[in-house]
Amino acid sequence: MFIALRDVRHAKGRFALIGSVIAMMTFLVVALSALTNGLADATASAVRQLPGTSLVMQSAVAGQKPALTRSSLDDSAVAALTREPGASRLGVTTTRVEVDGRAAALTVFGADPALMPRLVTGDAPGAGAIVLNAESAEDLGVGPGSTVTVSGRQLTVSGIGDTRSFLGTPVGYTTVDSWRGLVYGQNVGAVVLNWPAPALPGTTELPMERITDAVPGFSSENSSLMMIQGLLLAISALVVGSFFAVWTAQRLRQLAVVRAMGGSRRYLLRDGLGQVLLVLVLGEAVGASLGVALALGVSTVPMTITAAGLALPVVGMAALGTAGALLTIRKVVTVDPLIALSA
Amino acid sequence: MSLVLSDVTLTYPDGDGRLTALDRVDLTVGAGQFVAVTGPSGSGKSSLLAVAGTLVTPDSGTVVVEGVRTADLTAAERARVRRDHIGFVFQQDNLIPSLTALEQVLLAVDLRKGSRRAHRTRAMELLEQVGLADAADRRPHQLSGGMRQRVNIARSLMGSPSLLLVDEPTSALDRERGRRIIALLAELVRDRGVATVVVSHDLDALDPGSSTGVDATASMADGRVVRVEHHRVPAGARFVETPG
Repeated sequence: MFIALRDVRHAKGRFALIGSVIAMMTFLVVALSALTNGLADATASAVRQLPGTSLVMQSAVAGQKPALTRSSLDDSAVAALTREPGASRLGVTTTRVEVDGRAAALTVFGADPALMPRLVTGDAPGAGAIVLNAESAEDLGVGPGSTVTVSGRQLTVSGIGDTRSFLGTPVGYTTVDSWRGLVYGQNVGAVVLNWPAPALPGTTELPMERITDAVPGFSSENSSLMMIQGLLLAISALVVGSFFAVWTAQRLRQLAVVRAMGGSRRYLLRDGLGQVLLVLVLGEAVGASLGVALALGVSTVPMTITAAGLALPVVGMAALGTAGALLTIRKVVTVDPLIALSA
Repeated sequence: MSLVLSDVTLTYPDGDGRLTALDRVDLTVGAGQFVAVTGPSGSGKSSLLAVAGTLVTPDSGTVVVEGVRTADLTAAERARVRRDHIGFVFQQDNLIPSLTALEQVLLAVDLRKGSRRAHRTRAMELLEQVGLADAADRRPHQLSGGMRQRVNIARSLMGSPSLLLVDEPTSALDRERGRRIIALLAELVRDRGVATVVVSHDLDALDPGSSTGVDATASMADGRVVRVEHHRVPAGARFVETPG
């Protein structure tokens, strides 16, 4: 690193520029990763936390994916599925909740007791009651004992719980009977099972790890954001590779001098790679810090920072950036020392 | 002997055929001898330097540096021979832009995995000997052409080489500065007993025969040594003209 560190010190402007570009790309990838996680949480966190091993829904019509919001199991299917213990009904509907002139969107889960969320305060919902999450309760200015209007029906808030979100709206939990009262007696859309589902005509079973397949728009939204992240990582590799290609071309003679002086290929590799990693690590540290600060500081956009959500883009950037630079490192270590003798 | 070239032939690809850069050249240079190779452009001077410096492997013949036959060595082994035994003074100053004069000299230590701190005093002594003690902290762009060439010389001697190969050291300097550089080289290599081969197209700058000039001169043409002159006691330096 003898030459590498002094090169960086000497060409501060150039290295600051490429460092800034790396920082900016890292910031974008980390922020996008946080946004992807945040949107995924907002879209599907409520169904992701459902207990059970699989979920049975109404089969979709040809050409469409099964969707929780469109599913309606008939009475015979529900009866067949709930004959044994370990099966819980789940109805889903998106509506409005109102109280004292304030209104908000709300997804109501009508669920059997086994599916009820962890309570923070108050009680599980009975007939004519609902559990909201803390965010909804605060926005509406309600708490346990308050009365809210959901789809024109009065429900009592029995407790505040970890209900999470579905399709970008907060979720409220009520009993299946109360839920049917909100949706004019519709059947529930799904049954959550703790055992393998029997083959029933007109139904589809989804393993719980693929539950997001039943959330409309989730996979297209998620894959779009992941694709943008992938493109940003690829662009980063190109930018870093291009910078070091130009940088290497400019100092080919100096590398040849080092080889002519007896510098080993390992010496040049260590020096060159060390320089690449130094610039990448510093740029990424700045960019990732800014990305985390944004994710933690912004409340108007759903952003969630997780260890994996931070590590993957940072490691991906480092790996792809190094790969881009390695294309030129090959040139560094194979430089012909004879160049040093040419006039 | 520090350097022995025996019957060395070197060719390069040239269109459909091959161009002969060195044609059965013999050269022996002992410790402390300061010899010059002159000749017009394309005569083979730089090729001779490249072969002697293990930068190129000849087609045939043997090259021995400090007792090590280099022709059959791998690239890594040849790099080690250069690191351990050979110093280069390049035609262009070839200094590394980001390093100060002192760091340029200490680079030779770093390549040998030595402690730069432990060798700092010696590096400063070398800079002092080339008259650059006050410029140790300056980078190449802050030095004149002559100063850069003197840093080049100090750097080449830092590894205590037994063989010094010097390529056109005066080409970028005026006559007076060129003579001073040659005189400085002569003093330094004789003090240290370093076998030195200096390649130049400008014989006058080498000041042959004077106490500050080269000991012997070999003239090259078309890859052959065509004439040898001994200016000072020639013991040890032996040029064999190519037969025919």
